[in-house]
Amino acid sequence: MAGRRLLTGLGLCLILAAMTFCLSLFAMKSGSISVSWGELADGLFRAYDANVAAIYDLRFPRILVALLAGASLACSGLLLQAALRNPLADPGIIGISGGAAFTAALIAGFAPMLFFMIPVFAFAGGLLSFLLIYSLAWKGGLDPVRIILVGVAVSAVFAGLTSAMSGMSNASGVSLSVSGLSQRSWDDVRLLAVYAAVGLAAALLLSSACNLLALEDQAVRGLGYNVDALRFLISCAAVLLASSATAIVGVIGFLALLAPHAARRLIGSDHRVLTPFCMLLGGFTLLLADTFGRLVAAPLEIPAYVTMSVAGGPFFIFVLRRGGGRFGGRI
Amino acid sequence: MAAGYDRGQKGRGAYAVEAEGLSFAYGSLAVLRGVSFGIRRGKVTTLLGANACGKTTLLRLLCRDLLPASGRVLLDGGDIRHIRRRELARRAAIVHQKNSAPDDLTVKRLAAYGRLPHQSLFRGRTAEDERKIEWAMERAGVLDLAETPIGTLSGGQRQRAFIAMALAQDTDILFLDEPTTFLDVRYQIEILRLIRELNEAHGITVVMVLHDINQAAMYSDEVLGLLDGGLLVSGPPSEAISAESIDRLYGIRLDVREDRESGRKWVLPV
Repeated sequence: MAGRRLLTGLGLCLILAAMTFCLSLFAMKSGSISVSWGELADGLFRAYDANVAAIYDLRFPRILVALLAGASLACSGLLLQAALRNPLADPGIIGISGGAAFTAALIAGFAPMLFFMIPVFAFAGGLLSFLLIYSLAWKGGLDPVRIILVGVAVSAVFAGLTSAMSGMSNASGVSLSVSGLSQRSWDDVRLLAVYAAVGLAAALLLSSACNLLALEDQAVRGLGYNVDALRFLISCAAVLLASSATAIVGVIGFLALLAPHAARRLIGSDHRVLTPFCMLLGGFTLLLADTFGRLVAAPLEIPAYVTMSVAGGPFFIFVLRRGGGRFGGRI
Repeated sequence: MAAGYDRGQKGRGAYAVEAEGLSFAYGSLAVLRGVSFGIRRGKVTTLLGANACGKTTLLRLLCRDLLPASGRVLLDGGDIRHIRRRELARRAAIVHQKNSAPDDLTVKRLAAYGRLPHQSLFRGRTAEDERKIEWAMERAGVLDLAETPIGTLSGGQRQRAFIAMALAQDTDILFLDEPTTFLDVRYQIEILRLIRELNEAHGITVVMVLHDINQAAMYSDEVLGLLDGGLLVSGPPSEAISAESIDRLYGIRLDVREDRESGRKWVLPV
């Protein structure tokens, strides 16, 4: 019967995967260049077609980047919530994205030849701010509220530094802003795919560890585990995912908070199915937000982070009000 | 101060757990000051004492959830610090006072966590594990709740589900920190009977913290009375529990009676 629960979960994952696939097809076809399904298929698989080639170069990377970044951010939020046993843990709120964005901007502005290394530097920045938060908030234990307070402070410092730097560099003509999901190339896809693959695979491997951390630390220690090591591993995977996504698409709020909560309501707290479901939900949501923003006021574009914030806020409140009191695997 | 423990005289093997000069402090607040005693193998031993006398700290030291500032803990004669984590989890299980788990986790999956110390990355759950999980749930009286989510259980059922997890670890030693707190009297007695039964049927050495003196007298072979971070009394309840020792341990004069047939002590809390 426990197996049936798992099967139901996997079934829901498959349904969401199918929905994501359909949404991707729709996003491929829709936009300022309009083609029919037949033209699209012909252009992709049979003969060269200028319109389809433009779609291949412009929309495909954008869709893939949205899926990968969405999955990474959602999964990062899920891992952080498990590792810190904190329902409010979100890489954006506690400053990991801020640290990552700052180092990414630093490299983009002052050492652009290291383009392919940007996610690595972003990871270093994200890890730095995570360790900063962890050590500042640690007082013989991790108090959820203190983590958030310290995180907000760290986040503000990095956001300020990033603004200050882009102010300086605007004068010198170098743009540091990471521009969301528009103008994405296949290079971005390849870059993000490498880091996302590592992070997402780690997240799947760590799903049992995430389950364990829902128990009290003492209980996990009593089962023969090094709780601190587990927590650190999970956090590192979360930081890697959030940092590489932030390095490519900039800071996108809410997704990392919203997707895990919505996923938990839909599928329960077993990370063995929750983790893949949350990844799919993150990719689906960001692609939906981006496609919506692209189409709703065409030819103008509403950036995905704007759509996410405007639609995500109310939706998040709705989800929390509907679901009663269960937060992040606590009782 | 302490009575009845002298390593030199007793042969190795009589004690499952031994404490040698255990000291511990939270910051500058000393909680334990050089406590030494032995826990007899195959017996039920209860730690008694007033609030904040160091009972829980002592229990956590005994199962290496904390490390002492000085002194050491011996498990089956060997220093507990030299035992590897997983090995320790196969030899001693602990049920903490504060437990949490996701609401939708089933009793069976919780109990199955108890098998983790016996599994490895490359060796998943075996038929032996399944058997032990069933056994643990059956012993703890939650077998018919196997597929029930933790969030819907009553306090007593919840406590028994966590005991099932500890039993699934299949250890010779079981530590329990106030297993009856938050439970009404029926569940309290149920849990204590279960512990006694496990001890008698399977020879599991039990070390627990209790608040109720009568329950300690009724269900323990030995009691250890802690006062201000030191050991005040130790021995069978019939010897260790007296009006004087209760007065010193808890700072209140109670009427201690003795049952003429069984020799069992009981106190009138008036």
